[in-house]
Order: sequence, then C-alpha cells, then structure tokens
Amino acid sequence: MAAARNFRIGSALARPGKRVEGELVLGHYPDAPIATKVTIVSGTRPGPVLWVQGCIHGPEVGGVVAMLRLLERLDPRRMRGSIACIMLANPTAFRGYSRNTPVDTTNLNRVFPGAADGTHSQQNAHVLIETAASVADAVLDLHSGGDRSRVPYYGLYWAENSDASREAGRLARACGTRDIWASIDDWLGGAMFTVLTKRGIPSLIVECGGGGQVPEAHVANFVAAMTGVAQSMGILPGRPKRFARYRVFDESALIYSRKGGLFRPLVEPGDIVEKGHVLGEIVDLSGKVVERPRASIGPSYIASIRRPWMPVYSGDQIAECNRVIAS
Amino acid sequence: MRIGTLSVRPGQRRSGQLVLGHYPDGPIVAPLTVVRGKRPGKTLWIQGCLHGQEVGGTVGLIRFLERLDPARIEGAVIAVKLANPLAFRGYARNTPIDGINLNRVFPGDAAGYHSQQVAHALMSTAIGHADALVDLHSGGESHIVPFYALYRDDGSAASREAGRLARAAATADIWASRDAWLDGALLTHFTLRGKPAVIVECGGGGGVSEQQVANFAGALEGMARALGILPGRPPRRARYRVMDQALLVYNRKGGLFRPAVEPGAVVRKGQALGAMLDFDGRVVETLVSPNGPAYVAALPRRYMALHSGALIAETIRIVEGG
Repeated sequence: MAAARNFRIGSALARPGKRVEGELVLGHYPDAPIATKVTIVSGTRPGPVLWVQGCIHGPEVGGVVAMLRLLERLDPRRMRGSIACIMLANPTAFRGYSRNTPVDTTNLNRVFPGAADGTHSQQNAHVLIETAASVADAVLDLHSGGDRSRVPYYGLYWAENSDASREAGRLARACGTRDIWASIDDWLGGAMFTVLTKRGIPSLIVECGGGGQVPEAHVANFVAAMTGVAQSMGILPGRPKRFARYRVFDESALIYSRKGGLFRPLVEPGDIVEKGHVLGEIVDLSGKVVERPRASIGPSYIASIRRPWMPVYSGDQIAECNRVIAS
Repeated sequence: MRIGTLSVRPGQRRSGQLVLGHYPDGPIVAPLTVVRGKRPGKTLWIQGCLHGQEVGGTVGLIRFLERLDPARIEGAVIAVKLANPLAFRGYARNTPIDGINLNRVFPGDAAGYHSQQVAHALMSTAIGHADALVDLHSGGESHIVPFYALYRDDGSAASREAGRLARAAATADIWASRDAWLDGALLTHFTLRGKPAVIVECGGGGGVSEQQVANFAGALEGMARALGILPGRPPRRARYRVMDQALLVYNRKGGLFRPAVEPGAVVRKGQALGAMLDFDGRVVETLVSPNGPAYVAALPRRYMALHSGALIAETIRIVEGG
C-alpha cells in the first residue's frame, strides 16, 4: 500500500502533487448525510499515507486548528506520499460541542471496530476505521482534555509484541514530546488506535491541552507532532526531533470523586507524584474541604486532571494517574 | 432575622437553605449563609451562579465569607451561593428545565412557568431583606469578559447609590447601563424598587483563575465597606472608565473564532474584533466593532466553535474616561 497514489477518501480523490478536498460520509441525519471535510495533500513523489483526524470528541478542537495550520505549510514538491486530514471524526459531537455523540450519548472512542449494522456510534466507528485501514500506513488521532480537564502534551500508543506496535512506539517518540504512554490498559480496548494497531496499522494518539483553552502554544505542539510523525515516515523532509530520554508510562489508574463540590487541583498536568499524593481538594459550598482525592499508584504521571474550580459530582473522573516505568 | 431555613441573631453566622422551586420529588434549594454583625447596619444580598457555569463568583463569594467576622461587621450579609441551582447542576447557562435565561425574566411571577417562579422567589426574598444587592457573573464556558461593574442608570436615587457602590468594586471599569435588553434583569428591577443593585463580571472562557477569584472577593469587600458593613475605606480610583449602550455583534458564518483583541480592549468603530475560520483555514468573516470608541465587554474564547448568529462581542460605547 506504500505507493498508493490515487486512493480515495469519500469524495476526495488523492492526486500526486495536488491538494484535494472532499467529504467522507460517516452517517445520516434524518434529512441529510453526516459528513466530515477531508483534505489530502500528496507529494509529487510516491510514498506512505498518514491519516490524521481530529474531534472524535467534540470539544477537542485544538487538533483541528493545528491541521489547518499544517495544511497552510505543506508543499507537495517537498513531499513523498500523502497526508490526509479528516477534520471531524465525529461531526455531530462537534456541532453539539459535546464529548460523547449526542444522538446516542456514546463515547465514540470506546466502540471500535464498530459495526456497519450497529448503533449510530458503532456505524460512525465502522466507517472511520474501515476507510482508514484501506488507505493509511499510519494513523494519528488528535485529542485534548476538552472543556473540563487538562492534559499534558504526550504521545499514546498500544504496546504489544507486534511490528505495528513497535512502529507506533517509534512514531510516538517523534511527536515532539518526551512523554510517552505505552498503554496496556484494557479500558482502551475499544479505542481506534488500539484496534488499528492490532490489525497491523501503526496508530497513535497525541494529547495536549484542554480545560476549555486553545492557546497558540498547544496548536504549535499538535503541528510539531504531525510534522515529526510525517518526517519519521519519510513523507516530509528533515528529521524529527528526538530526545535522549523519554518518560514512559504503561498503565493508567483512573481516580474518581466520592463527594460533590468544586474541585481545586493541587497538581499540574504532567507532574510526577508518589502513591498517596493529594491531587486536589473538593470544596463544598460552605468552603469546607470534603474530600482530597489521592494518587492510587506511584510514581505516577498526571495524564489528566479536572480544571480549577470545575463543579464535580460523585464519581467524576478527577485524574488519570499513569504508572511511570521509565523517566 | 428569619430567612429560608434560618433564624439568625446578632453576632451569628448560620448556614441553611432557601427554597427556590420544586423537583417532582422534593424542594430545589439554594445554599444560604447569613453573617450578622453584633451591631445594626445595612444588609447586603450577594448571589452567584444565576447562570450555572459562572462559578468564579461563587468561589469568590465563599472566599469573602471566610474572612467575614460577625464581631467586626455592622449589619448583615446574606449569601445565596447558587441563585439557579438547576442550571448549576446541569452546568448550563440557561435553566435546563425550560431553557430560559433566568436573568431576562425578572421580576418573575409566583404563578408563572418554572424560571419565572425562581425569579419571583429570588426577587421577593431579596427585596424583603436587603438594602443592596450584588449579582456575580462571568463569561461562562464559551465567552470571556473583563473585570467590570454594571448598574442600571435610571436617574433615581437608588441608581446613584448603585453607581457609588459600583465604583467601590475594585475595578475602574463601570457600565452605567440604560440598555433596553437588560429590562428583565434582576438588577434592573431591584433598582426600580428603590434599592441599589450591582452586577460584577469577571473571567469565563471555561477557566477560573485565582486572580479572578481574588477580583470577586475584592469587589465584595469594597462594596461592603462602601455600605459601612465592613470597616475601612472602599477602594477608589482616580479615574473611572464609564460605558453605556452596548451594541451586540453576531456572526453570520460558522467556524472557529480567532480573536483579534482581548476582552477589555478599547476599540475604534470598524476595528476588527476577530475572524471566523472555516475548515479550509480561510477567513470567511471578519467581525468589526459597530461602536467606537467602545469597550469590548465579552468575546468568545480562542478557537471556540460557533454557529451563525452566536454572540461575538458586546461593544459598549465609552462615555467617560476612555
């Protein structure tokens, strides 16, 4: 598949040396197709295909802004192969500005590989993964903490004993960050990158930012990640930035609140903390601290933390604490 | 003093609840704290989260209450920490059950629809107990506002007193409003009933920084001093920037919003406020200020995804101290 020159994603037909646009239909409204914009830029010379997508969770728009930024800079004369930008992996979640798909309140990134004859989200997942698998040599899925949580800048791939996983690990180390989640987490079994990697297509997630904010620095991080992965694949010229050492995590413990209130974080995304470290305080409306959620494992990397003063219910996901295996 | 579930004697701090409506299976209550000084004086009503996402004011109010010592104050502070409990729980600007912007339906109606009943309960309780009212707001999730104080300028004695309190709110930016679209706001009706009311706005855009919490707490402390509830002089500025008559700017194209100015900027008429970017990265619309010189009192946060007809800005004409 490495020399695929005239592949198609929906109505976008890739052509050597050209930027083409089109739409990929992912489902249907009662009155019209549900489609995402697709832009493909192909080098004058053949090479691999990198599939990049954004907004599988609606409020995570930083990756989309970064794709627009990258597309402005791509020069087909300096490229081998193609970069395909799938702007909105979940168009109705983007329009509804919600993490889960509004029509069935499902987290799309938990139901892969999906099903052509399944629920709305399963059908959306099925079209995405089958289309990606038919054209892509690697897949990069751009995420953030959305509106309610903040995440550090890191690469995430499925760690298993396979060539696709090793290649995903190599690409993750070219994302411009030294923080790498080499996941063995069962709860990510239904994520697109996991299922694709198991099918032999190296795939990864890049996370950055959230908490309702998209500063230009986060946009630049996503651009650096896409550029580094494309350089690693030989699509773009130049060498990706490599670090002498990486911080690697393998498993995430999810920390949930047991009380409700306003959450005040006491750690920053990307901090490394010991087991039992206080992650923040849940403050009730008389100003009393009613709970201090703690890291349940350590040393662990704060891969996600609720933003300052976010109102939380009992059972809210306060943090992801990832076990550090190399630092 | 008897209010909600509380009976509060001089020198006491009490916390309880104020019933504002009813679920199918029980009362909808706001958390209520009353701090009453040993000595008599004015009573100040303070509320937050009339819009559910605007939690910065509630955090600032909690901070203010922590420092309030019944032995040191004259009069009383009545704190309603959630003026719209359902909107807070649903984390929505409008009341989830009827989709209504609560701050457009005052004075409300005891026999009206749900939001009207909540408005009536707030208004009648506040006017029955308080000499002055402060309502704490922010830009919520999607918008960011600068730190300013807003009062209804209807020429009355109550409105002049509200203007004096606004100038003690630790900010130099004052909106002396005669805007018709705020006719249904709580502060408008409180002022019409002869008592001063002020809105304090700060922050939003999904974030609550400690600086914003400090701004809210500082505004409350300043106004409490101006009322004689707290000892000491209120903060005064050598100059204030006074605004009136907001023109609201709406986009006609959808896309991702990229701001060209910061909230609180002073802009010329025709100056670009920001741009809508489509999914080719093209600028499909540039939004400009219809007012000038004007104060940008609200702006969507950077790269907010917006439909056509979203509020892009409040541009308020500067009438003094540009």
